[in-house]
This record gives sequence, structure tokens and C-alpha cells, in this order.
Amino acid sequence: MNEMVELEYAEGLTEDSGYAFATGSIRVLETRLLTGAQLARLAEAADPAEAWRLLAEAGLAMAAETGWQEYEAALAQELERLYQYARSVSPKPEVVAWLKKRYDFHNLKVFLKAHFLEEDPREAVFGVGEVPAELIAQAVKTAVWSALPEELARAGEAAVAEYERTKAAQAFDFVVDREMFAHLRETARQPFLRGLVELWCDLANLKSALRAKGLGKDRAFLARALVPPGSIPHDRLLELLEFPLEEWPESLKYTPYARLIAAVRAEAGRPVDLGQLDRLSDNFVLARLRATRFSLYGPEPLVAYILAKEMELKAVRIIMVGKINGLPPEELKERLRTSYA
Amino acid sequence: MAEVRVNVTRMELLRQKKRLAMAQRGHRLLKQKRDELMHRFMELVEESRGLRERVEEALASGFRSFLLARAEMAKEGLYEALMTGGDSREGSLLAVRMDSVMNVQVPRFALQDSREPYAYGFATTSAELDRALAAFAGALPELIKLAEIEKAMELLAEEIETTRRRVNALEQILIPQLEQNIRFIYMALDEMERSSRAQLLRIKDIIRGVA
Amino acid sequence: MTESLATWWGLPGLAWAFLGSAVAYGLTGIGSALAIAGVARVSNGVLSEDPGKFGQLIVLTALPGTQGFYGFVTAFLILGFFKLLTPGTVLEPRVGFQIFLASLPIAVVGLVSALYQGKVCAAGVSMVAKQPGEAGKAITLGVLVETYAVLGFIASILLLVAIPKP
Repeated sequence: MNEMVELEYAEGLTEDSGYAFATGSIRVLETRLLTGAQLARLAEAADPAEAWRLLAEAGLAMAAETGWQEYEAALAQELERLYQYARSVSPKPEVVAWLKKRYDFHNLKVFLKAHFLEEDPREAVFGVGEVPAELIAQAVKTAVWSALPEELARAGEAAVAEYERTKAAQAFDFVVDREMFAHLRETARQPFLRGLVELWCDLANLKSALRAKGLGKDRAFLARALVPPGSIPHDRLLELLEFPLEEWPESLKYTPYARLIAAVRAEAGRPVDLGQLDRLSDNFVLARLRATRFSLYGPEPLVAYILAKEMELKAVRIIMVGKINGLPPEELKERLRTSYA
Repeated sequence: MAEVRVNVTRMELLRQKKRLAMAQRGHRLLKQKRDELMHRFMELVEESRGLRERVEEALASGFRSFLLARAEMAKEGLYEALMTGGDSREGSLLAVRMDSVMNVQVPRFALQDSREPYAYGFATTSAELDRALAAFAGALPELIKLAEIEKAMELLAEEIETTRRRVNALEQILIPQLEQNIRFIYMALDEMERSSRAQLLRIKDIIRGVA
Repeated sequence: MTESLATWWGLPGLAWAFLGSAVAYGLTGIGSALAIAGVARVSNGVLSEDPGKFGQLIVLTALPGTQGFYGFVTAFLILGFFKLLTPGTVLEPRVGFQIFLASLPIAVVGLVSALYQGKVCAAGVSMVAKQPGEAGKAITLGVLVETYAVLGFIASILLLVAIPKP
């Protein structure tokens, strides 16, 4: 009955409903995200203990429950809580599962490396994946891929084949990252999600190109490092590698990323200054997320909130690591992203 | 001075003199060796001071970048990126051969690692990690050079110490002792000569008196 | 007698009048119900995190419900004006059809305005969630849509009044 009403409303008004409840609760939760002013105050805190106390006052449950020494565990717990919440408010599991897939691919990389390079995977495993970590570990160990979802199995097999060929640990990352973005792109249903993947792919590829340039790599290397193209085709990026960095903004003039590239270069003291790259590309994504403010019934606000919250956790980590190691406040502020709230 | 136990013979005197000459030559040589060792040591000190500063600077900037990478990435992400399998290849990264400096065996290290430090994907890691690893990788050859120099300094210092002790032993104990021995033998021989001469004179007198 | 048996497009006058009444309430009712359902779900989401906002949200949630009310009143007026519930009432098909046409403004405008008002109010709810002080503005904006439902209601009533009563 409910389904039918939803269907009519959706068809009549061309917006898929169902996320209305999620949107409502997210609009409240968004007000509890850390604001720019709060982040600035945190950056000014005298020591990690004070920063942690300020976080607790700002309403972060994790900060109130544990000591600052346990900040890393608290962040992991907060991430888990975020996905539990997301699952509980979304009418269908697909979209949240789609976001969680990123952690599955990460865990796949971890277990591949753990198995083939004989490393200890414990510290590197995310607990929020869609597929239980043990299942992935088991599949990698026994090479029985059929136990895993198809996309993970495919990525795992391809990565192992590539590793057997090159014997380079990097093969795992390159292949699995590529498969991950390909999978995310294939399974993005809503236009918003498709746009988001395109943005992710473009930013990842630009970042790879800039870093390859900075490390003086050749085209063959970059070709292996690239993930599926977003709006900028691979050929274009590979060509860019031949040009000096000064000409990149001109060459990317008609893409949305010209200013990003220009900003990275403008702060150059060395061949490529990558220090600001992560922050700038995160801000780019945040700007895209902010555009979801007007959606009401679709999954956009939920997705935007999850990603914004992930970035908030990152900001908290930057502050805590900075405070523990005594980085000056100005430097911390330089690293902090603009706030979504 | 300690009790001198030497045979008072001319043979012995000759032997002692030979020993003294030898000790003096050894003393001179050891002193030269000590001076040369000191010279080398000071050179190494000079070299290591500059090198140490450079290495410390490189490591400090590496750690700073690493710190930032650590802040930018989730703990899990960073651990994943740095799972490189250690060195799973055959043989070691470092070739060691021994070299002789003034007869002191000092190790020489040669780094045999041409591998990339960047053994992770670029799509999901922080660019700051590149900088950290570049700094660390750049510091590694100098760090190894520094280890080499400091080990050499340690070995040289030991050698200088033993040489100095030997020089001192020659200078303070053996040479004075030999000199004293010689003096003693001389005196004893003189004494013996005098007494035998006196005996002879006396015998002569007695014979003359009898005659 | 002959007139009461006459039909337009197969329907006698009385049936046209009932159809008008049914359409007036039916369409507006559906519109209001759907619209409230949409707003209410957003409101529920907000309340799940912040129960204290109930007072502000109830107005916004109920706002798209007025169209159904106008439709209901219109339906009642049709029944009352033309004594449709009185046994033995006979209507000419011409009059019945006029009643049907008169019911259309509130029926159509009510349906559409309710659905769109639902969207405005849902957006208003998410605005109130972020800026609790701005509830008045959100309600005002919702009421702007309401204006056209009211105008449709007035148009229907004027038309009903203009039809000669038996």
C-alpha cells in the first residue's frame, strides 16, 4: 500500500521518494557537524586533551566516551556508527551498500598484500565493509573467489594475475583501485551518484598524473596508475605528462579542474607541491555535495551527509595528529578542509 | 726503581742495547702511527659532522611529511599503503666489504636497492606520502654513509687508544727500564773491571814483594 | 418528467452533480493525503533527531491538508445548494453539468497545488531543521501556494452560487 503511494508520487513528480525520512533527520544532523569556526577553535587548542574536550562539547559522542589517547579507535567507532545510522534510515540498502563497497575493496587490497607479501593485516582492515573481512581473507588465502561478490572476485583475480606478472606490490593497489572505480561507476544508479563517481575518477586521475609528474614517471607508469576515466579521457592525461606543469592549467582550461591545478602549482616551492592537493580536491567534492541542499526525497542528502561526515572525521584526525605532534595552529588550519556545515 | 735482574755480562749489555734501539725505533714508529690515526680521525669527525646535519635535516623533513600524511589518511589506509612486504627478495639490501685504514679493518657499505619507495596506489593515498617517502629514500644513502663513517671512527678511536697505550708503555716503562739496565750493566762492568784491576795491581805488588 | 430522464453524454443531471461533488473532494483529498505523507516523512526524520521541533513542524506538515478541506466543503455545498440528498430531487442535465464544471477549479487546482505545496513544506521542514528561528518564513512561503488553492475554492463557490437553484 505504502509502496503504491510512493510509486504514484514518484511517477507524478519525477522524484524518487523514500528518502524523505532520511532527509529530515539528516537536516538536523547536519547542524551538528563541526562548523568552520569550531574547527578553527580546535586548531587553536593548547594540547590534545583540550582539543578532545572541545570535541566532546561540540557534541561528538566518541569524544565524550573515550580518552584522547584512543582517538583512532574512537574515529573507527564513529565511522561504524555513521553507517549503522545510514542503514537504519535508508528505505533500500543499495545506496549505503554502494558507499560501503569502497571499504570492501580496501580490505581486499589489505588481504591480498597480507597473503602475498606476508604482512600483518590487522591494523589495516576497516570494520565497516559490506562483506565480512574474514570472508575476504579466506577467499584470498584459498584462491576460491566464488565465495565473494562478483566484483571483488574479479578484482582479486586480476590483481593476483598482475602481481604474478610484475612481482610489484603496487600491482595490487593499481588493479584493485581501477576495479573499484569501474564497479562504482557501473553501479551508480542516480545521476547524482554518477556525477560523484565521475568527479572521484577525475580527481584521482589528476592526482595520479600530478604525482607521476612530480616523481618524474613515464607514460607507461601513469597508464597503469590511472583509474577509469571520468570526464577527462586517459589520452589527455597521458599527453599532459609531456608538458611542463605551467602549461597544465591552460590545457585543462575547459574542464572544471583548471583552478585546482593552478592552485596546486601556485604554491609550488618544489617541482610540484602536493601538500595542498588532497585538501583542494576534498574541497572540490564538498562543493559538489553542498549542491544537494535542495533535494528532498532522493538519496542525495544521505550520500552527501555520509561523505561530509567522513571528511569531518578526517578533520578531527588532522587536528588530533597535529596536536599530539605539536604542529602550530596556522599549519593545521592550512590543512583543514572547508566545513560542510 | 724496580729490582733489576740482569746478567752482568757484555753479551747481556749488547742484548739490552739492541733491545733499547728496537724500542726506540718502535716508539718513533708508533708515535707516527698515532699521529696519522689522529689525523684520519679528525678528518672523519669533520666529515661526519656535516653529514649528520644533512641526514638529520632530511629525516626531520621526512618525518614532518609523514606526520601530515598520517593526518590526511585513515590509519587503515596508511597501513595498507605501507604494506610492501619488507624485503622479500634474495640476498640483502646492503653489501658490506672490509677496507683497511692504517691496518684497521673498517666496513664499507654499498646500498644495493634500486627499488621504488612508492609501492602503493595513487588513487586512494595522500600525495603527502610521496614527499615523506622521497625524503626518507633520499636520506637513506647518506644515512648509510654516516653509519659507515661512525663505525670507522669507533674502530679508529679504539686503535688510537691501544697505540697510545703502547707508546706510553714504551716511553714510560720499557725504554727507561732498558736504559737503567744498560746503565746498571755498565756500572757493574766498570765495578768488576775496577775490582779485577785492583786485584791485578795487588797481585803484582805481592809478586814484586816476593821477588 | 421528460426532462429528468434526459441525459448528457449518457448521464442524467443528478449523476453529473454527484460526479462534481465526488471530483471536488476526491481529487483534493488525494492531493492533500499524498502531500501530507511526503511532508510528514521528512518531519518524522527531523523529529527522530530533534523531538523538540514538533510545535513548529506540525503547521508545515498540516498546511497541504487544507486543499482536502476546501474540496470537502465544496462537495458539501453542492449537496446542500441543490438538495441532492432530498428524496425526489430532479435536476436537468444542463444544471448538473454546470455543477460539475463549477467543481473543477477547486478539484484540479486543489490537487496540483497540494502536491506542490507538499514539496515547499517539505523543503520548509528541512529549513526549520537547520534554522529553527525561521519557521515563520517557511510557513509564509508554503502559504503562498495556498493562495491559489483558496482562489480555486472561491472560484468554485462563485460558480456554484451563479448556477440558478431549483
